[in-house]
Amino acid sequence: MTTDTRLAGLSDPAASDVSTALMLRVREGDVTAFEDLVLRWQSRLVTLFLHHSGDHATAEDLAQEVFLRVYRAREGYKPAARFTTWIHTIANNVASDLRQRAYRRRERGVPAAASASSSSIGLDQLAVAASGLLPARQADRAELQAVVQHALAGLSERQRMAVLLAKFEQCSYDEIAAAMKLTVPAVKSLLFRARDQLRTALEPYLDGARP
Amino acid sequence: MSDPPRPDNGPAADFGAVWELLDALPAAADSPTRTATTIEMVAIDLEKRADPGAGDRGGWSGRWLAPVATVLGAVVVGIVAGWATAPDSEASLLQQLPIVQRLDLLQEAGTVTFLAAVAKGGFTPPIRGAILQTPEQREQGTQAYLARIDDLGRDLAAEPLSSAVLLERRAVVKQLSLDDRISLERNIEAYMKLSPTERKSLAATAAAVVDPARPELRRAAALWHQWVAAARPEDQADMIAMGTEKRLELLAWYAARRDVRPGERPPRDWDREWERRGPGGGFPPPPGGREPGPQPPGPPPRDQDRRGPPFRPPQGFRPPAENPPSPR
Repeated sequence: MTTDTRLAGLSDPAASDVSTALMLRVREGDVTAFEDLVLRWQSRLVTLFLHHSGDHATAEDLAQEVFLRVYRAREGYKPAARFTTWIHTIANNVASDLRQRAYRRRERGVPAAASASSSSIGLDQLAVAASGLLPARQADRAELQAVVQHALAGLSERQRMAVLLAKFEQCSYDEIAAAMKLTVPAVKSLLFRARDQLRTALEPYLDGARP
Repeated sequence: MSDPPRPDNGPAADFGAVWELLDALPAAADSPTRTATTIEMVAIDLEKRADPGAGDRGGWSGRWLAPVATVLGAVVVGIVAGWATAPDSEASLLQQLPIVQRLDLLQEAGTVTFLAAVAKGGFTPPIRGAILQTPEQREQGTQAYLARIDDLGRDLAAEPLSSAVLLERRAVVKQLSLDDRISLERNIEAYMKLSPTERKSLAATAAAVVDPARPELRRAAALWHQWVAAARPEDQADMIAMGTEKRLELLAWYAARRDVRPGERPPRDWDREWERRGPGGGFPPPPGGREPGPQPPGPPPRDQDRRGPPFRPPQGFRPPAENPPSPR
């Protein structure tokens, strides 16, 4: 747990306001404020990208890329947008760029990174999970984690990003829409399909979890 | 199964039970190496973009890279270690908020043993303080310090903690300015790194300095605050970090030195005895001196002149290789 979230827990979830203020300092050239931002946000971004890409090293690279873009764009930052929305937008752009790079690699016949595409997801494992061969009460937490990861990996990249923003960043529909440059109805539709797909993949566990 | 999301609810409500299953996904742990690497990478990137040949000529990375990486590495290691070993929840932190907010004050005050010894020792304010500040300024500083202790007393008096008090504390945190929030965060980080024993000691100090039955401890804390405030800024952290014994040695040593004023320098045999006993040997008060609290065992710092500043508390109170030169 970061200090940011600790402090948010002490007051309210308005820690992003601190980040906005810090970003304004970064804009003015305060390097220590940038260090503070990295400390506050890096683990959150790595978590986001970890579940988006499925690979820890890739997640760390992507999080670094986000901070690089944040610093490069510091002079253009406008406080009209909350820093949270701004950094989520950058994170979504970085994830999209990764997808495009992976696509271009496939076009050139270069094998894509195992983490970069849902095509490499163990769909057979998903099928096993969905078939009920691994009932919830027999699965320990590690198994459950693996199954949920596989189910998440079965989503499209955009669905996955929307789910992760909602789950790990506690974004509202509006905030997800702003970060992904979509309309709110489009985000709801995206998440609606993602929910159905996850529910299908995790059905045995949902049944097991219910009293 | 495919009921559409309810328009007025957030994703959490719309996802239902699936949402809870997503809790199985782990969150990435903090990594000091990762943070330092990111700062380093950004610094290098900006340096390259500013001037591809600038390498070592002291641009953004030249100024920040090494210190940032070093400091972040050290700090983050500490933070992560502290968090990893600390079981505190936000509620626990809220309960400790009066102490966490005044961590600097309490760490400066030290232990109850120290304060009791200061109160008993009859030490006087530092001479250097009289040089640096007018009596009015010193009085203002002391009153501000005592006001912080009074605030602490009011907050601690709220115990046993009710939900109303906790809510009030949440509101206080919420209304903090950015600088105060950052300061509080740093205090939290520092507090999380303390051992349970150190936290208990802080709590005991907090309870002691606000105890109306022990006003001498409050005065002792204010006196030591004057000593710290009179030190050079770069020395203050060292003074605060000193343990009870070293603090008392320092005060006793200055008290012994002061006792020979406004007369002359202590006789030479005092210096020889000082050198002979060495650190920890226990140094007697100067001839005719009063009896200070604990006996000062060590010699004065080399750069210390009894005529006044600079005031630099010796680290570890090591003896000089030779006697201090005579001021005359």
